[in-house]
Amino acid sequence: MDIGLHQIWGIVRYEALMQWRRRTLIVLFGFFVVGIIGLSTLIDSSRTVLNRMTAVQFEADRVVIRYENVATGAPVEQVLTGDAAALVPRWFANVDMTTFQTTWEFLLLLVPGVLVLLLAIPPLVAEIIPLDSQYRIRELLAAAPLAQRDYLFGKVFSLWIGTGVGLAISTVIVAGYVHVRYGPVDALLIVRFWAVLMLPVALIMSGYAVLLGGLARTRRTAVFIGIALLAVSLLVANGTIITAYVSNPLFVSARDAGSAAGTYESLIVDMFNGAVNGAIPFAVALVGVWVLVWGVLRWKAEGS
Amino acid sequence: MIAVQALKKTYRGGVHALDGIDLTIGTGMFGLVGPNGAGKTTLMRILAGLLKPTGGTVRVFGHDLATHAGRQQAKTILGYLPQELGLYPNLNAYEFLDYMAILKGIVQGAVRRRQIEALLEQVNLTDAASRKLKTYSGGMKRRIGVAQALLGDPRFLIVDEPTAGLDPEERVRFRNLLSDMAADRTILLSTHIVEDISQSCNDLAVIKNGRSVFRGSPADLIGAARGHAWLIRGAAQRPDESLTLVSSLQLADGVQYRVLGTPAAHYQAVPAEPTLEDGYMWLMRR
Repeated sequence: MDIGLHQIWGIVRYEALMQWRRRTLIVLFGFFVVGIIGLSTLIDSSRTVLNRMTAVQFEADRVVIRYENVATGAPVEQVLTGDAAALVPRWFANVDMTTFQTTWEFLLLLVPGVLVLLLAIPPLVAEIIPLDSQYRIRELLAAAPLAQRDYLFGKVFSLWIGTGVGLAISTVIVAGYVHVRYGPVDALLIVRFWAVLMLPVALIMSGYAVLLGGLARTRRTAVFIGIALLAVSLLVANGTIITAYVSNPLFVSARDAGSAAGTYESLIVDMFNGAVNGAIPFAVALVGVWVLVWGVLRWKAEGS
Repeated sequence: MIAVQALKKTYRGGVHALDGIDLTIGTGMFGLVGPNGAGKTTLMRILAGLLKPTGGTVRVFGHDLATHAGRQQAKTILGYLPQELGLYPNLNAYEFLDYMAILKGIVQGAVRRRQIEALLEQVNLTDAASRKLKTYSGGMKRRIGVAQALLGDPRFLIVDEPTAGLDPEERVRFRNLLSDMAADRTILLSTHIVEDISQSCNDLAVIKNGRSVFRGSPADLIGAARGHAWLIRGAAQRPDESLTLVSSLQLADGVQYRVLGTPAAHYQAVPAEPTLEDGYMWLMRR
């Protein structure tokens, strides 16, 4: 392995270990899990819906919707005809309604959680590079044959790995909770939601925070930079999480049921595409920020 | 071989830290002494590739420190112990040394392990290797700093005040360790503790106001004070200001002053064998 890659891997390993021991990410994702479970409990306590849809059956001139009474578990049947029947999306026939509903309740629960996470990440992680100055370790690092580029890669990747793992573990915990409490969930859809939506936006925001925070001389200034990045967090959330929220199949089906010709899968793909398209400009800007910060740090080191 | 020619460093704001230093340092232990603010740390930071000189040339084993590539190459053969040493508080000693070894480019895990275990043994920290660094005393932290500087068996070692914070036994141990290592490498030792220089360096330079004011062996520096060191006993008052007071020792029957200069006859001064400290003080006085 090239020495530079070896050094990057070393920084990733030990930074991840130090992040674990500093407990910052554990606290962050702990709040994420507790917050989502708390929110679900809150929603449950104020829930007025008595019946949960279990199956939709399309017949020649009518649609039969079967429900389960949430309180008693007793089956309930509803028959729709005419215009009312036409409003029910056709793809409802091809999905397991119990899993579909549980999964989407879970994903919609995740959306506010991720939103809060996006706001919490920048102030908490912006300090990672200035911490080296606070520990007075920068001089040792500068005396090592370590390129500024590799140092930055190591720092950012270590946080990305920590964020990815933390997000994965907390998502699994919440999904397990939902599975136990409400019923089966579509694990594959949750993995896709995690990989396509949650992870990229979390990585984008943590990347901005670490890189721009790295320009600060002190930890405190870095935290202020992290706070200032809350505005960017809102923009990223607006282009991705909010987009996914309003374009999810549950809402599309209700809005465009009569004309919605797509399948469940195509609606999900559309939703993810919308979110990815929203994230791309921020990802491109992150590359620009990365190059800029690398240039500034190198100029500082060269110019001193 | 370290070659420094007409080296200048002016900080932003116009402070001239170094003003035309010329030095050639070969294999062995080289001492750097001088008062606070003389420019020692600036010189060492330039030699470590941390600062760019304003003027002059510096070559470390053939690598030109004026270029980025040259500095990076020089860092591959460098061990550095800064005056203000920082450590990661949440890592233990073994982890910290492993991390530093990776950053120094020691790729093979087995080599790192072997070196770290040997160095922990050398600095007497094997038993505390799994303790987090935030629990270490000042002296223990210093020893870990020493160990990290020695990682990778560097050809050029820069140590800034290495024995500060060490107890006498540790100081002697560390001095001997450096002396043993100096046989086949260049060690640049900066210290305020003149005794460290006299016990371990065969060559030294004294820096004052950014200039080199002395270059030679400890014996040469001692020789500079020969005939100027005196002992004055029993004086009720301190010697006058024309003499440089090196030390005063309270005895049962009065006070014994060690002075440099030419004492008046009424002091009844007795000539003394000069020490390295006398030589340094005499040089500073001139």
